[in-house]
Amino acid sequence: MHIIKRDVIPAWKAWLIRGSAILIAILLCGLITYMITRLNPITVIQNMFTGLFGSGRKTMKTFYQVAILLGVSLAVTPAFKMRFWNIGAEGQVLIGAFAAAACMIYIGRTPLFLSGSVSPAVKNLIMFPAMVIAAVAFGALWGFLPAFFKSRWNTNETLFTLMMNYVALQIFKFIKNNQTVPTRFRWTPDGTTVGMINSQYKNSFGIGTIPKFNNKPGTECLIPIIIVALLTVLLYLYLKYSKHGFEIAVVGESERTASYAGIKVNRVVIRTMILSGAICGLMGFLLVSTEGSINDNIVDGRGYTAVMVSWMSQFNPIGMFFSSLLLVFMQFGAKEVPMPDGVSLDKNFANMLMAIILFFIIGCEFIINYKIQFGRHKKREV
Amino acid sequence: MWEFLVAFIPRAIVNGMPLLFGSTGEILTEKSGNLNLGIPGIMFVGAIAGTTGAFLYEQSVGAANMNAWLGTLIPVLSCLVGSFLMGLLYCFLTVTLRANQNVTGLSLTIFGTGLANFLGGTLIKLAKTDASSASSLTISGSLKYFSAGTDPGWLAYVGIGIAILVSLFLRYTRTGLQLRAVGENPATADAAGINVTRYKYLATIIGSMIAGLGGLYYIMVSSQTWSEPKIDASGWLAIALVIFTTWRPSLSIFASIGFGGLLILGTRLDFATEMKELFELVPYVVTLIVLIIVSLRKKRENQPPQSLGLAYFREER
Repeated sequence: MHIIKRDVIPAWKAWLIRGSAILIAILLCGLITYMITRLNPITVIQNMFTGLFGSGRKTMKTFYQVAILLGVSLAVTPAFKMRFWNIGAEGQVLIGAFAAAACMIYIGRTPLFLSGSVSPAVKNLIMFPAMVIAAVAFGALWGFLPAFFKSRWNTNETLFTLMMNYVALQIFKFIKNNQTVPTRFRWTPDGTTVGMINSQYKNSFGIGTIPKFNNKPGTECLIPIIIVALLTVLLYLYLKYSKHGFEIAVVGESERTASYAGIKVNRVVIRTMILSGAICGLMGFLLVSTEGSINDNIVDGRGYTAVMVSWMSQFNPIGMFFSSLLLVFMQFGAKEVPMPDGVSLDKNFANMLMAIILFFIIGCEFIINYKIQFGRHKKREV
Repeated sequence: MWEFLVAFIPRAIVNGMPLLFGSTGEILTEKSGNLNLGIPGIMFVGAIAGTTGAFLYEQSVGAANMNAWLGTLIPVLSCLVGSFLMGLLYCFLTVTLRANQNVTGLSLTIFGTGLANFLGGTLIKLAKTDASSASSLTISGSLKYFSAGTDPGWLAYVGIGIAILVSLFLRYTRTGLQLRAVGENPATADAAGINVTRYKYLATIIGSMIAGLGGLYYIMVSSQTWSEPKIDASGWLAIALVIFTTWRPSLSIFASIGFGGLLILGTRLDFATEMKELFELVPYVVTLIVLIIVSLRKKRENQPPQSLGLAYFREER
């Protein structure tokens, strides 16, 4: 038996292999679910569907979750294309969310915002840009630091970004738990539960929170969905047709080729990571602004899941959309399955199944990239 | 002051040992060139496998009739089997199928965390249907075989022993030298007649079994119960320790106790409860600083293994 590297295989064939791998994995997941719950698989899927798409509000919420995961995946994609292993999206999103929430809390305390004579429109006109700028700036800073050290001294970016996740988390926890501010502007009431920031505004005009249309619940998800949809298109164009996108692709292929071609590799690395971090920060803003609150767990592992989404769709935005949809369907759908005695399907179960699907996709890349030859090794002409 | 230290140091050791197991395992793994980001997941699986073993044994014979040998061996062996399988999966994907190590490692972490917490939740429910109404897994019968209550227990000595052994192995044995060669430059090692695949498999699997024991330690000694354990945080800290100690398990003995101490310092000092989060921040920040300094000084012996994170394919030139 002998393993050789394939020449480039047609895209449709590669996607066919990936598709079959996902299908087999899903069937296996179904089997595992059946063995544990002993529920009719069709009822399970029906339950998941009605739970996630049963009403307009539910559908909106589901697509909001898809949008956020897709957004974070988009954020990490340029860096991955450059072979920069940014696994710090978790921290970049959190620090962005933190910055946005801090704006809501601290700007919301200023006399201008407390006075009733200023119209909500004016307040929001100040609040939203401030939140976006703060979130994007902090996200970008979290992206810039590892890139700076990587390009200067070749510091390992995987480990650096990993540490930055926890730096963000600890800074956030420290400030959240210790800032004593007047009660009504407080951070979340205690360490675990979710409290509404500026809840006194929430019903009347909602400063800094994304508005609901006609006061219908679920409609606040519309704006994040539109923003991420736009972002998807923009990033696709950026990566595919802009000079920057081309430079990213070249650096990803080979840093040496890039520098021979006159591309300033360091500059590309730093610029791309700032972009990556900035988009993560923006996602943090969307999370806080849509949900109107923040807690330790607001990012909820999306930073790591996004790495998977980006990688399993081979940086293809359409693939990323469907991957995000699949993962959100599983993660949030698991909760909708009725619980038989003693066993509860939950997010942990969904994560486990998700990882099984990932293992299959990871494994199938081998079939795409390599060919196994049985029998005698024939010499290939070069 | 003295009294404080006498009370504090054992707790620091208890909190540091999972990190020591994790980092020792990860150092051994990384020396073969595999950057295993699945350590948190592997520790989780080690923990749940051991806990499940202890739980099932306790349920089947009853807490009163437990045998000390079996009560010790069953959790340890099931923990080793669980983490062995995780290591095998990682190796199969990254070494045999040459998959990307970062992606595989992260998937392993997601898988392990999900599996362990799901089983932990299920076992809690199973335990509830029995006479006990505890909201956490009842493994109280097995706990006494691991620690008398507040002391670090025998497993801590095992951890320190493993760290010293791995340190000596890497530094002074021929096999250790060959393992390092594989991690630095697999092509050269291959040309010198070293079986790269075998070294990578063995180092990674043994490494993940060591890390798995860290998860078991976390449950049996550090937290002494299964209720939403934060093993993932320990796992990431263990990876931080690998950098912090610049790939030296012997240093990791002290560093992990130091990190373990920082994790509980905020809860131990009366005047500093509000600083809790900042003390917990210190390990990550100092690791970042060490990471930067190491890359800045470019001292050969402090660098990560050169092929760390890269799959080896003999025919790729």
